[in-house]
Amino acid sequence: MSDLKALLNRYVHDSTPDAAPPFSAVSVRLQRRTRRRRALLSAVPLLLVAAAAAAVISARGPSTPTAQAPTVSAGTAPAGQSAGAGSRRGPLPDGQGSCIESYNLATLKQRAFAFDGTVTATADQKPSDSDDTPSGFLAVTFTVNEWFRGGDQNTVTITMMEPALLSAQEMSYRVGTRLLVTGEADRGRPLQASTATAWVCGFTHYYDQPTANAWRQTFKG
Amino acid sequence: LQRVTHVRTPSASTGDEVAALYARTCRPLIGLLTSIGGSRSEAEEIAQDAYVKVLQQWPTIRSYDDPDAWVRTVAVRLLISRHRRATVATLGLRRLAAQARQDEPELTADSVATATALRRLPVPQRAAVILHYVLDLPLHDVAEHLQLPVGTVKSRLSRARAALAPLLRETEETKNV
Repeated sequence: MSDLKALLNRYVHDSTPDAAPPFSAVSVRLQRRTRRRRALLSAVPLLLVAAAAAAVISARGPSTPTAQAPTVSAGTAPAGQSAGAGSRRGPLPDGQGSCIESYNLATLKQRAFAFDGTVTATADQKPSDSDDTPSGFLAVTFTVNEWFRGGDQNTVTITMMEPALLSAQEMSYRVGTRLLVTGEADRGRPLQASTATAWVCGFTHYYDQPTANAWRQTFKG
Repeated sequence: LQRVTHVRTPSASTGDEVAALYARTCRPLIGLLTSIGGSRSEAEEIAQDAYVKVLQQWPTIRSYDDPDAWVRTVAVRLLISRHRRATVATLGLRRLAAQARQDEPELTADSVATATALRRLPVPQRAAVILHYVLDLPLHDVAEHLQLPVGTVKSRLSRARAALAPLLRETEETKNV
């Protein structure tokens, strides 16, 4: 272990700059932040109007999905739901991460692919020179129950964050878990692990009928 | 709205005190973040974000037992959070990977091998390894930095040791040639 410690110490030493950037850079960053925050806050009335409008539309529409913490229902799983994490509802947990886009039906509609599928296999993703995917990701194979966008095959393999990174407390998905999956892909290329990544942060959900209906409508419209 | 948009700017004495903390901690912090994330420019950016937080919250932070540890904890969490966000989107990931390759610090041959081995680990695992083995932080402090249970940190360190074992063998073989 002392060898490992020595190697790591040398590496951190080599990674440390000879001098720190000037402290003034921090003040400049703070000022830039402050200006940006003021600009954002000046948009608050508009955002409030938009949020109110969205709430009205949501109240009128059928079963609009919302990004909320996953819950475990007390009763048995609804018919048609698979084993594994089948009794859970809501979005997959997303670990400590936050996201570049928030989940709603408008942002959902912009995704490259979406399907209702059941996990049938998972495999480690090994990083290599030709593949930017870091470890911490799995190649996850699904039997597809229904395509909403981006494919028509019976099975598909895509990249997903490994369950341990999504939640340290529980196995967020496993073989048998039925999910509503969406994410981004290299558009124009076949959907596979090296080209397609499932998004978390509300975009990938445990299966439930109302959310599946909403997704179907969203991608039809 | 007027009340909400008022953003406090730090006083001169706060600026001086934070500048002193910055002078004391910034260089090793950038080294730590670079060795975990692999990119010097990203490390500098995140360090600045952490010191911005220090400036904004200095009256509270200055009363802590160890403000230096506070800024390190915040910076490591910012780094991990940033990598998580980036890895959510394939395109963002590729941009980050390309950027990281351009910003790598100049390393000795041994350190290149260490960097290569470390980059096979997810960023939170790298952070656990470096905090524990380089900074000698006890497990519960590493867990605090990473917002994880101690048991998870233990298992991550164990996986990391297994993953880094070939690095030690390679180094040993090189010495024997």
